[in-house]
Amino acid sequence: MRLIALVLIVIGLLPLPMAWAQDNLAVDLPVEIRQWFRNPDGSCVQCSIGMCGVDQNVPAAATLLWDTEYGSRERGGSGPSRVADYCNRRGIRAWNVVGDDTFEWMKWACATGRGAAIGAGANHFQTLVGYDPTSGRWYVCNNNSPERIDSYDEAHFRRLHLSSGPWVVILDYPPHPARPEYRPWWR
Amino acid sequence: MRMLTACVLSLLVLPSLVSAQATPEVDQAEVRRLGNLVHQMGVGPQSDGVATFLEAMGPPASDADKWFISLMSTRGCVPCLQLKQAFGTDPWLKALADPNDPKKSWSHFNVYDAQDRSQAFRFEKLKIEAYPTILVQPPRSKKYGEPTTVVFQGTYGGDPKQLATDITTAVRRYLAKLSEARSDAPAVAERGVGAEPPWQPAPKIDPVLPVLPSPFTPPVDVVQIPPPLPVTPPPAPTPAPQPVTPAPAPTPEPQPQPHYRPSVRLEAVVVTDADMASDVATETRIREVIQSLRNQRGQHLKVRRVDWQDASTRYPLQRDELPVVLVTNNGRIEDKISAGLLPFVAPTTPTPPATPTEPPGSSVPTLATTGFGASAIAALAILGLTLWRTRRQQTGQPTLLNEAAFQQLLQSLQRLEERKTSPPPPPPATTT
Repeated sequence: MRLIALVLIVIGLLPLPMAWAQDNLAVDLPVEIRQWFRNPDGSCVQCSIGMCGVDQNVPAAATLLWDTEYGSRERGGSGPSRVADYCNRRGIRAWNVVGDDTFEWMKWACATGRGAAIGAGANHFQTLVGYDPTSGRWYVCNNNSPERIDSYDEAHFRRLHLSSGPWVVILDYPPHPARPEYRPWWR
Repeated sequence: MRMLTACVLSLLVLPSLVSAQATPEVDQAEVRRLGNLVHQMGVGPQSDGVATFLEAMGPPASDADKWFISLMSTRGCVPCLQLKQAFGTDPWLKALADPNDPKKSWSHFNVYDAQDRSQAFRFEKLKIEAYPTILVQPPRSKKYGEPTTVVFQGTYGGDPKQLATDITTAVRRYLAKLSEARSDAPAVAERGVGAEPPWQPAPKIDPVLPVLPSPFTPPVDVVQIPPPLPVTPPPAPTPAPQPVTPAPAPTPEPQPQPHYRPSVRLEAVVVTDADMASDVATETRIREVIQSLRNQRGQHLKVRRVDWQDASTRYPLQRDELPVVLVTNNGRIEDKISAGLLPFVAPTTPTPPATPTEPPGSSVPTLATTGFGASAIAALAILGLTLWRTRRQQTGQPTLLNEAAFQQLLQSLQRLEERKTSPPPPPPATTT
């Protein structure tokens, strides 16, 4: 009986971080839209920036992977200078942050409702979709598995980020509003 | 043989491995080379392709306390373009949101295209019937309650000052209610990729239609938040103090429902194609037809402009018959004037309704204009009775009915005639 109670308590506690994430993620894209940005051919940097672009409603950034009126598709590997080149060409306002301050920038992005394209994993870029300062958990969407959101504690996330080199790209546009709903506040 | 196969396979695989090594997904060497730097891209003159790296700097101040103003627009919508421009130029609206200077802007300003499939999920819980629609929401920081709350939802009537005033009034009312609620219960407020993208992104430049700016058309069923304040009755005299009685048991709170303006059943729906701009002559004709319909059906007839994409899901319409003017009653199509008929539909002048004071001689025009119906019979009866009575009076014969009874009979007939002729006659047969 005690064992069952213990198991129930554990099960009840387990989904809490994801419950927080559901309501507080900076990037709140549904799965079907995240899957548009599955990495097709080693374009992880563009996939990650594209996901932020669609989240912040910046079509020039959201369409990086494809041929559109905003520009030709950008495929393949990237470094900061290539990102700067196509952002300038397309008129995408963004911060290219390299070095020790990336953690501070990532926390700022999530706190203000923005996502970030970040180095995460060896030679890989992913999308930072949220950070919970209370629990210290980071939420990341990998463009190789966009159907799920991965959650990391501080230490694990630090290792993940630094293994690719401290580099993040954050779009300099307003964040999206929370999904609006009617609440009869005037009553 | 096996050795040979292995060698051939190695030769085939080797170049791809070498190329993968040569083009890593992330250029880590460049990241290490750059050290601590922040580069602002795509900003003004720097966006000429020349990489300009700045000194290392921290992130900007948090803007999580900014309110959100979102403009919902649709393609080919002239008032939407006007409102977008007004936000950049009009001092009243710039005080609320400045798209040209997001850093100094009081709120986060976002423009959403109703046809953009990548953003549709955000507004699934809203009822948006007219464009442009403006939404105002509290900041993400929850400093002013739930950020999902729609504090203001309204349309643009062409007056920037009025819109700005409406927004600020709504925000003030919301804040007053919030502070009231917090003082009552502090806990309540706190608790296979191809070359084409898989959706149609919003166009870079929204083409301006080569039509005259259409006047604002009042749509029906438009959600207005907050609802207009009720007219306050004169203050009642203060009652004498009564002994305190226990408060009645609280009734269960009904499910939150958006407040709608009273729905008007009769409306004219102008269906146009955003991808094919109508010419000035057609627009003018549409206006004439609408004016004519208003004359026929009454000035209360509401007019709504709907894009083909939306209308095709509700009405049985073919794209080649656009533009179309539909007259609907409670959603049911009563009349349909398509593009082919528009040039031939003449604006009609309304038939003046009969009045009880009109002379009995009106029976002939009534017969001519409305046909041989009950009203014509009533009018003829009035005429016949009056003539018959006059003749009997002139010849000195008894009139059978005294004056009072006769007048009463006439009034009854006039009422009957009035009741039959008052409702506007059915529209001329213009249905396609």
